[in-house]
Amino acid sequence: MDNKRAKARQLDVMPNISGALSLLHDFSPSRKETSTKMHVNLANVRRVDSIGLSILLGLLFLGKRNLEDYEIQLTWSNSNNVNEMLRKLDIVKLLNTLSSGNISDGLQGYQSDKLIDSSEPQRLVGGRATYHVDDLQEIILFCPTLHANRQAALDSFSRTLKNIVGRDKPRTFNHEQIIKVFIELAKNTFDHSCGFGIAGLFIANEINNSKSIQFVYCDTGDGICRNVRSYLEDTPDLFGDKLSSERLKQKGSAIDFLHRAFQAGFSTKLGNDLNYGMGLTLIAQGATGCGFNVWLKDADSMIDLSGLEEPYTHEKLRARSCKTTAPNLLVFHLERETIYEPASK
Amino acid sequence: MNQHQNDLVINAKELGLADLDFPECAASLNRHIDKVATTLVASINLDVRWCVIIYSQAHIFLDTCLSKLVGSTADSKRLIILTTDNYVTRELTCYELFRTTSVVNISDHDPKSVSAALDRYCLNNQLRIEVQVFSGDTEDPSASMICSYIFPENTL
Repeated sequence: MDNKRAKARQLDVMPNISGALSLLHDFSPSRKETSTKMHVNLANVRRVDSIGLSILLGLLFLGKRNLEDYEIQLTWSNSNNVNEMLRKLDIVKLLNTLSSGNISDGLQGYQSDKLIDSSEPQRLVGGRATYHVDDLQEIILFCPTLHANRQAALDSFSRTLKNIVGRDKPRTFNHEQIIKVFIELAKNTFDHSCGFGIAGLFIANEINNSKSIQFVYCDTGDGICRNVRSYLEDTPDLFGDKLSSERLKQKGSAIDFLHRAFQAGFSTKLGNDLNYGMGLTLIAQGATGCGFNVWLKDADSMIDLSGLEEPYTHEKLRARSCKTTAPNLLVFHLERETIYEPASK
Repeated sequence: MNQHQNDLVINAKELGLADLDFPECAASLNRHIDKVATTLVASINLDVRWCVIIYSQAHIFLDTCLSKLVGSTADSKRLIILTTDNYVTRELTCYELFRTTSVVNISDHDPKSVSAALDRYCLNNQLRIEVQVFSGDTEDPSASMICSYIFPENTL
């Protein structure tokens, strides 16, 4: 089909794209839909935050390899506050980075009295969009192909993270350890995924001097389960037992593959002096060690890793898992509530 | 060099070297350690609290700490690491710091193997390593320690 004449795929977005609700979308193309043009319709969106938008972007670009092939048309929300939040989250820049890049900022014509006065902390309610201008909300892309090499990509990601996380003053969580968790996630994207990473950060001011902290990392590649399965297919007799190896390759469940991926020393890229097979454990225990609840979604399963002690046995993972019909996006979600001392005036 | 000078205190953040996930920053810390630690050094107190240390770069400066202490003529040798890395267990905290150092074999994939290798290294070289873990939730330097891990194990 001539792509220039192909009709754009119509992708209607649900009213609430905050938190993990975005996972309810399914943008998987049907067999008839081959177009690389996408029309993202946000007209009905009434609520948005950095976590929901990160997941939405992950789903929009799930499995897409040559990003420069994609053309995006964007219809803005009917809610001014939602559009303002989308602008704050740099949606135009994000979409331009993730596609051939010709989206213009349709917010330019907005009347100034409809915009948020950022000098005055306040809680805004517009339609069903509610957010606080003091909240820290950001989205960071980790695109390996935009950098000269692995170290340059990781350094750039780390630098951006440090700048953003450093704005949490006085600090309400262990900044350095969470940065390490994100770096470990980005390493996995670079080394294993063929996709890119989308990190969403949301530090929300709540009542009673508490902060709700949420982080999400979405990987648009094949995911852990598919990766491990492919590796096993290419590596006969990995466990010295042909029967169990074959059985795992043919009949293995998501938990079987995730369990394998969590084993100390298991890596599909072992022996390259970069991968030592402890990445997933360091991610889960690193987040747990600084008080975060963690869940991981991959393939058709979600696992609650909160407070789970290593070693990650098959039994423990199975007991903490549930099935999901959400699309096959790899998602790590970290969450914590923090009570803090208010700054003295 | 007097006794006091044999006990080195190095604070990475005060040196402006908090970004230890960047190889050049880790290399700068390494150069500093190499410069200030003499053959008489008895203890190195390495304060890397509020620094971003990743295991693939930690060997850049930890190998020098270890080799300086092992090569020292001092009777009692100690490496004390102050960190805000909290990986819950002794084995995983040790793994995060020492996995890529020359102490550990490439085949030691398991965190238990890494800490066992470190225990052996300390015993063989009459060296004591103490990893003191502090909370990273606050930047208060006077905040109390959460826990500490000693190598070789069971030596107080």
